[in-house]
Amino acid sequence: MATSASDLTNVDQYRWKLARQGEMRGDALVLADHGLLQGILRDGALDQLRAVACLPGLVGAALAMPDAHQGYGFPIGGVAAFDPGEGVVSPGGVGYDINCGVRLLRSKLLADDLGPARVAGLADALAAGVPAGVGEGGGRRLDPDELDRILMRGASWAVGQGFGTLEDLTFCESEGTISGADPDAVSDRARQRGHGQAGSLGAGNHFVELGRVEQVYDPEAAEAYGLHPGQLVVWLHSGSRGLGHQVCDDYLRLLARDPEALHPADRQLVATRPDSSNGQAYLAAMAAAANFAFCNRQLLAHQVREITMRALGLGPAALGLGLVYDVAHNVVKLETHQVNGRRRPLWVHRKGATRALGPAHPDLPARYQAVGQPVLVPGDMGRASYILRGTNRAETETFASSAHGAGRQLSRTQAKKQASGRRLAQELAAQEIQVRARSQGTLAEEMPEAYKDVSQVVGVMHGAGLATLVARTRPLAVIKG
Amino acid sequence: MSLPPDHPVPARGLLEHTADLGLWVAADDPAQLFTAAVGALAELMVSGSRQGQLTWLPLELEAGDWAELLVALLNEVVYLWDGESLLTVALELDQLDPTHLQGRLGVIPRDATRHRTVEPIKAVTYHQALVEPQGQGWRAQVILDV
Repeated sequence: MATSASDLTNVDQYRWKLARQGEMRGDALVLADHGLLQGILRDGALDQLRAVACLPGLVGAALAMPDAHQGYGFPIGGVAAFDPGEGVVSPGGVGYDINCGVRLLRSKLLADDLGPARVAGLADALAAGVPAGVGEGGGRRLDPDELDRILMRGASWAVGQGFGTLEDLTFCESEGTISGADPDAVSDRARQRGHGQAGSLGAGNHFVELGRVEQVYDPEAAEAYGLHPGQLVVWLHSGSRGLGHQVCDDYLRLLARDPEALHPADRQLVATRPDSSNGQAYLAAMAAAANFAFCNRQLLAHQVREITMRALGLGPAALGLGLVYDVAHNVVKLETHQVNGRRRPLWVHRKGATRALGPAHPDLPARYQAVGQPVLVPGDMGRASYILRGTNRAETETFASSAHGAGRQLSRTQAKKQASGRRLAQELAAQEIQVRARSQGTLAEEMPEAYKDVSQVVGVMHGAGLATLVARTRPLAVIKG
Repeated sequence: MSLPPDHPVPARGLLEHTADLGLWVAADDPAQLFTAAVGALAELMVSGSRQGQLTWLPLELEAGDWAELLVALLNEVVYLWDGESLLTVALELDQLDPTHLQGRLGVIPRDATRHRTVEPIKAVTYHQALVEPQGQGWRAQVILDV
């Protein structure tokens, strides 16, 4: 039976609880205001969250972030933590694009100093120079040994090859490398899909965005993150490309035929014990794919730096494209969290959610110790994106998790219908937003109205005290994959 | 989704999904259904000529049931495009039952001058995957990761 508003208890302005019932192992908690909740209820995301709450070994509540919408298996915007002994890991709790994520680069430039013509020229250069598209490769062609090293070392491999600086690694989640990766757990097919795709953007909702810092809400955190009003910044959104998709598909298929695995009604939610042989293999392959994604974003950032320097005729010091942070959206990691006053290890699944560590967390770089982790929340191509800071409250309430984006509200076919007859690129250009897309279809599917209002999403996180506003950026140019 | 009784088979269409895309296919029997699903997916992924140097790749798949088998077959099509730069243009079946498929996929090489990505499909999911008899024929649906 579909979950409806009457099944929920309104805890406060931003929290809605579906109390444990039936086969649920814990509560489900939705973070949303009244308006966002209606969308979450409408597309079945809460039914998916209820199914997640039925998985064994769930610790605390299964969580839906305010950008939640229907996924497969887990909802997008879903977070769930499981006990290492009693619980499970699920490829459906990570998703296909393993370690899809975002990184934000700050510059030493003021956006207004560039002017519209140079922004357009830079957008053209980035569209021409950053490889994109499905299966079209364009990335570095890797020999098997190189690929193995990437799967083991992630972004640090790229930095070791000269594609970035050691400081970049300091400002990546998990320093750009997830431990426990085993290249032997990655199939030949996954390797084949990945070997020409390192350093490529991909397609769908992946993008490079030039933005301008429009408003600073929290000067102390903004200073720590190196952000100030008027500044030119670059957002990057990409993941593990075909390699990650193949890893997910390989292990879904393996677990589908594993009699020891747990087989919920939704096949996409198939799960296994973390210490089972297939569970161990999945976690090793997932970590390898996550490392491929960290490396991919590092290589992309290097290309963006090189292209921008050439296009603007600036050297690295004058441009100063430093990394604010790099966060993973789709991942399961063994983390230590405080639950009912006790610190315990948990397998935390984030599917379309961002880690959000509060101040003084030992996993943060020294520069961010006082203010907490940058929580990067990109919006659609026509409105805004946000930088928030993690809070200690998130550590105790959401396993240090926050929203990851605006979240879709229109299906791709609905978006195309609504875009029919419109000249989206011209509409955006009239707002001084340059868009470069590989096809009109992609542009229509990704049009601003296809997404929820990201300001509403981050308003919930801020209001709930789980991640607080630091700065807002406005898009100047968007290059879609 | 029901089809009107006079609807020609095989038929196909898209299903709504918030983040991604769904595909449904209807046909007279499972073999026609699987063949039609391969064609529908390939057309949804890539536009352009289906002429080219045809190669037949042997294929044998095992699965727990019809739906799992169809997802495995369609993921072959996705893999061949993304991993091998081969566009699937045909399916020939020697054996097909709910847990086993044997046959071959006809493929042509990607040609950047003639082939264009329509939908950037990266995987075929098990979510709401369905293969079932419907009326006098069969119907299938899958959700595609875009």
